[in-house]
Amino acid sequence: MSESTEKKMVRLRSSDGEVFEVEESVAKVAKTLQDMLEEDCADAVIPITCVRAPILTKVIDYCKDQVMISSSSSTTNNPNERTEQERKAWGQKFMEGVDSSTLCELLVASNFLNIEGLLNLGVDKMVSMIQGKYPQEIRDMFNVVNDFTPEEEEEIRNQNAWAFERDPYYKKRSSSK
Amino acid sequence: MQIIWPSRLSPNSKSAFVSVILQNRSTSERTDFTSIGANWIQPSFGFWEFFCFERPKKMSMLPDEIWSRVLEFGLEVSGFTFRDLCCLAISSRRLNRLSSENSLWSRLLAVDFPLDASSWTSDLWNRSSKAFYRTRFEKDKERKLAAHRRTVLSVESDIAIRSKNLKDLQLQLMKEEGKLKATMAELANMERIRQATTALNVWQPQVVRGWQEQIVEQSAVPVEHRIQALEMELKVCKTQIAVASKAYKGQKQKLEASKEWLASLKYHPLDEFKLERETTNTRKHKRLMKRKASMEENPFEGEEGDDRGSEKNACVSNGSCYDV
Repeated sequence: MSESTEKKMVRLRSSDGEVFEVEESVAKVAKTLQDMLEEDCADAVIPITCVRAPILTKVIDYCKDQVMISSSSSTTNNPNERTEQERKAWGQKFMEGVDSSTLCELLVASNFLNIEGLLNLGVDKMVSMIQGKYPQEIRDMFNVVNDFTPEEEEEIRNQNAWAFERDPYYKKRSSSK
Repeated sequence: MQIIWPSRLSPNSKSAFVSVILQNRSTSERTDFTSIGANWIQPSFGFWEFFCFERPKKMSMLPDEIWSRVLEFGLEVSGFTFRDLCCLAISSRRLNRLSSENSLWSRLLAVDFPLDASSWTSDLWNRSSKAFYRTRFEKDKERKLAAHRRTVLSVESDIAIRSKNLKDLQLQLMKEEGKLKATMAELANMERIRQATTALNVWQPQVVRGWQEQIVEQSAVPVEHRIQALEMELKVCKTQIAVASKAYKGQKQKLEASKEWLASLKYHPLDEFKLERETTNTRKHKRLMKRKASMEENPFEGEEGDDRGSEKNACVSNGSCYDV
């Protein structure tokens, strides 16, 4: 790790056949890859068959950043060390402009590769996308197929109607009091 | 041959990532075929295709575990409410199943109704948490509604009392003012008598003198005393009026405050919206009627006829919009 010549490289192949060469430390951010590398198959190309190249690029970006953080925080008193807030902002920026299908693939990929941090980022993004949306909006956004029959939908709507009744005790927020 | 699944993945999670490791039982020597597997097994057996189901293009193809994770995360960190969960439930069967998980709703229960924690934990296990949350929610709503009604009533009675007080004060003020006027008039009269008495001491024509004597004789009480008493009364009257008007002002302020409070209690954004919609609707309707009336007066103006038609259309579409 300290000497660049001794940096072990790992090759990853995405589902569409593109091969990525990354440092071992970067690959080891993914727990699944770490397990595999410890099983010692480092010189082979590791197929990551459910992840497409663009998604894998993003995943590798994330891993690289994680490696950077951990290496900078291991040397104490580093000015580059991030605060909680900065990390949050970075996560937001990382997830910015990710559409729902990419997000989905990212989630699946991070689940497969067992990258806790990325999974959390993705989940957080998804939560913020879902929050405060109506059923139809949720369906449209995530391509969820409405598989209820009309009768069933009627029933399920009635079952959940209690949550959408008008709030009778609405309180106006008064600025003076 | 033994297939080793990565630790996080269970075989039924349709994972695409498997490592194939061959283990020689006698020597317990392990050979990894993961890399070879891709090239070697794929063409003949469709091995990888077996394990990798098609790429999840849609959110709906996310495995359940990720969905549940999203829901849990949403509840814990970002503050999903019962409303979000119900929206998800309406979206599709699968989301309905996932969002009705007992663990989610019991967590929501613990957060929203923490006081009842002891009462619901006992019978939680034999029924759905969602149903329980619903009954609990409705009870709570009922309670809040009753409390709201109570405060509205109390404020209304407050307003009634205050306005009655105001009326009383007003009456009192009027009385005092009447008294004041009477006293002033009498005082003026007394003044005249006093003047007459002083004038008696000087020489005057007989007629005037007789008249003045008459005036002085009419007042039984000595004039000076009477004037003093009147002046006192005047002062009392004035202070009374000052006190009453001060009280009046205070009461009025309080009344305004409670009226404002009542309005804010009764305020609901939906009402406002509805009211607005109704007024615009009636305004439109009135305009339409006016047009119609003018049309009947001179029905041969084609231009206006067209106009009316378009407006009518607008109105109709408006109406259908409200029906939905």
